[in-house]
Amino acid sequence: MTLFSYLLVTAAVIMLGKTVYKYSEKKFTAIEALVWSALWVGVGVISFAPRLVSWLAGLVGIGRGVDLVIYVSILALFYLVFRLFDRVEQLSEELTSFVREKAIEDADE
Amino acid sequence: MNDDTCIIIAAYYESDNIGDVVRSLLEHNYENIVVVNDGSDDATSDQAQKAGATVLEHAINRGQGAALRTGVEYALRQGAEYLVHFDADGQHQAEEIQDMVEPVKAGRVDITLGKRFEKTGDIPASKKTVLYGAILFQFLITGVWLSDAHNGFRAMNRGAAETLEIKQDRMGHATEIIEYIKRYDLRYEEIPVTITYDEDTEGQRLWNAINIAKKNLFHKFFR
Repeated sequence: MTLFSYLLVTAAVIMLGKTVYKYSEKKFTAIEALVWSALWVGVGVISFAPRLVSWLAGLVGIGRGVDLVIYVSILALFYLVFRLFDRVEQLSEELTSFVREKAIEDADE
Repeated sequence: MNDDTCIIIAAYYESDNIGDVVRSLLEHNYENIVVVNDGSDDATSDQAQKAGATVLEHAINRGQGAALRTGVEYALRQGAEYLVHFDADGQHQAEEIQDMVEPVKAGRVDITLGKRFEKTGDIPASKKTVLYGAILFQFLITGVWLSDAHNGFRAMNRGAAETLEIKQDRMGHATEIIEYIKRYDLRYEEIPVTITYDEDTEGQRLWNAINIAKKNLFHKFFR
């Protein structure tokens, strides 16, 4: 294993710990905790066995393992940004509704 | 008296103008005036209240679209039959409200939109260019070809006001309203109005127009 592999494994273990902690504090739902745990376990496994990625890449018709990791990462990041965008818009709408109701209530008093 | 008509004004840092605007409305017998102070902490609310308007306070700034919708919701709950969107900065003329409301009251249309090119003289060239661009953009987004865009002067009946659930908090609401007109098949008419320009009341500059376009595009494709 290279130094980089050790770094990745350490990061994955720390993030897995944080995920478990957030779940225990009820800041993550069971599904969120499962998805994030799977991701960090995946990072750990890949660090230990990089050939596994090359094998997976071959299965889906991509030449190099590292390319597969990059493609999947970009897709995952796009998905996360989309979800975040949606959530921010939703929060903004809720905030406006709250400010509106408060303004109308205060005027009625 | 125009007891069945409510004038709705979204105001943001308009302490210099709002008092005069409210007084001019009262002089023209519009007594139901709702000013929504959209989070400004200057004397906007005081001036509006002293002049005789009902003032609603947004605790934080949420944008013109959000403020107008707050005013509309309040007016609807108060039983208003006809609602008018009016600017806080003195660009619109109180004496022209009658022309705007008349087709709605007569039942010919559900909503009227002010158009500025016939009555407003000397529109700055830069402003004209932005406006023509906005008209084209508005057409591409909504499919409705209007002779003006975004001057903010509108009159509508209760039914139309209930239909216009403005979701765009900021300036994009102007195009959103046109989208609703098309979607719900509202009857509309454009009425010539006079828009007053001076350096202090120049509302939407080029940068502003670009921001509106950006917001509308995003809203159309991602919401």
